[in-house]
Amino acid sequence: MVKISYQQKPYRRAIMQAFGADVTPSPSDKTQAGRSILERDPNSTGSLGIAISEAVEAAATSAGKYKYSLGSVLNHVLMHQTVIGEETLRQMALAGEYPDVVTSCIGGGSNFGGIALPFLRENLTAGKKTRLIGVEPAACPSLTRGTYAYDYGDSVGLGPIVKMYTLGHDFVPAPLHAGGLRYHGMASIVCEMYDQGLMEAVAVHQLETFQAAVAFARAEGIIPAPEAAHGIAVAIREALAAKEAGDKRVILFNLSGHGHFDMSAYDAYFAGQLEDYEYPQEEIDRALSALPQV
Amino acid sequence: MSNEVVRFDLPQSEIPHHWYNIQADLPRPLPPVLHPGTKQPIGPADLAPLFPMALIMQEVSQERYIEIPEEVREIYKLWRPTPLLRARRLEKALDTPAHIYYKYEGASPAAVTS
Repeated sequence: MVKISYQQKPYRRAIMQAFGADVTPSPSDKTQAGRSILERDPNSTGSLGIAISEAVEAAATSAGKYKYSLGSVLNHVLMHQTVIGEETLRQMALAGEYPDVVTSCIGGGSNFGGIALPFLRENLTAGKKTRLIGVEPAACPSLTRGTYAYDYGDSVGLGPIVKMYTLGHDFVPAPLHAGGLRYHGMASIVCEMYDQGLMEAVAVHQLETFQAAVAFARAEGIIPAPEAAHGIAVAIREALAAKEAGDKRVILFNLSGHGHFDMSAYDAYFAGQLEDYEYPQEEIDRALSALPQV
Repeated sequence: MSNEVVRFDLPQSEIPHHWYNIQADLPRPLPPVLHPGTKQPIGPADLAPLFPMALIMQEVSQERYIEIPEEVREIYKLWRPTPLLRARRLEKALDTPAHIYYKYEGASPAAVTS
C-alpha cells in the first residue's frame, strides 16, 4: 500500500486487514525495488508506480507462491467491471430511456470501462450514438495532456511496457484527494478508445468536484467518493448545458463508491483548505523525457 | 408520496452470466504489450510468473463474451445487481430538463475507494 495512504487512510488498511490481508507500506525494505527508492529518498511517501514495482517483484521472485492482482488498467480488469454496464443497459430499458451521455471518472479506467464499454458495444454494433466522457483530475491529466507512447506501467521499470497516454512513469502525483486517480498512465483500452475517437475526455479541478459532490449529497442523500465526484461534476455540466440548449438530454453516470472513508477530504474542503492544482507543463516534459526507447 | 419512480432494480436472477470483451469489437486492435528486457511483444509465458494463466488468457482473448465463473456469480449475489437511480431531486435542484441517472455501486465492499 502506498505509504502516504497507509499513514493517512488507516481505515482503508483496516478494511484489507478485516478481509485477511497483510498490508505493507511502500516503498518497503522487502524488495530490491523498494530498497533502491529508499536509498535515494529515505523519506519517500511512495506512489502507485512504486507500489506496483514492489508487487511485481514480490510475485516474480516468489517461485509461484504469489501472484500480482490489480484493480484497474489491465484489459481483464476492465472486462470484469462490465457487469456494471450490462446491468445498467437492462435497467435503462426498465426506465424506458436510453442515455445520450455516459460519464465517469478515469484513473486507471476500471470505473469508466465498467459503465461505458457495454454502451460502446451498442454504439459500434447497434447504431447507438451515446457520448462516452471520461473525467480525469486536472492535477493528473493523463489523457488530456499526456503523450500516447510506450511507457512502463510501474516506476522502476520492472513490469511490462505498455502503449498508453502517459505523464511519464516517474511522474510524482500532486497532492490530490481523489487518491484513485493519481496514476501516471491509463488502461490500454481507454487509450485506444480515446485515440480512435470513440470517447471524449475532460479534466476538472478538485474544487468543482467537491462542489458537485456536495450538491449531489444534499439532493440525493449519498456522499460520493471524491473519485466518483469527477463524474458527477461532468453530469452536472451536461445537465446545465441541456438547460441552456433546452434539450431533454439523458445523462448517466457511475457512482462507483460512497465517500465515508474520505471524510477528512470533505473536512479539508469545508475548512477551505483545498486548492486547485494545475500540473506544471515543465514537470510533464521532464517526466516524458524518460520514456523507454522501443 | 408521488408515483414518480426513482429506483430501477433487477432481480437476482438477472445477474449477468458473461463479461463483455471490447477487444472483439474495437475497430483497431490494441497495440502489443512489450517485455521490459527485450522490448519485444510479450507472450503468455512471459506473464506467467506475475498472473494466473486464466487471467492471462482473458487479457489477450478476442472472444466477445467470457463466461463468469459460477463461484464469482455466487459472490456477486451478496450485493448484485446494484440499483440504478434517477436523480430527480438533483434535476430539480439544477432546474434542468435533462434526466440524470446513476448506477450506485456503493454496496460493494470493493467500492469504498473508486
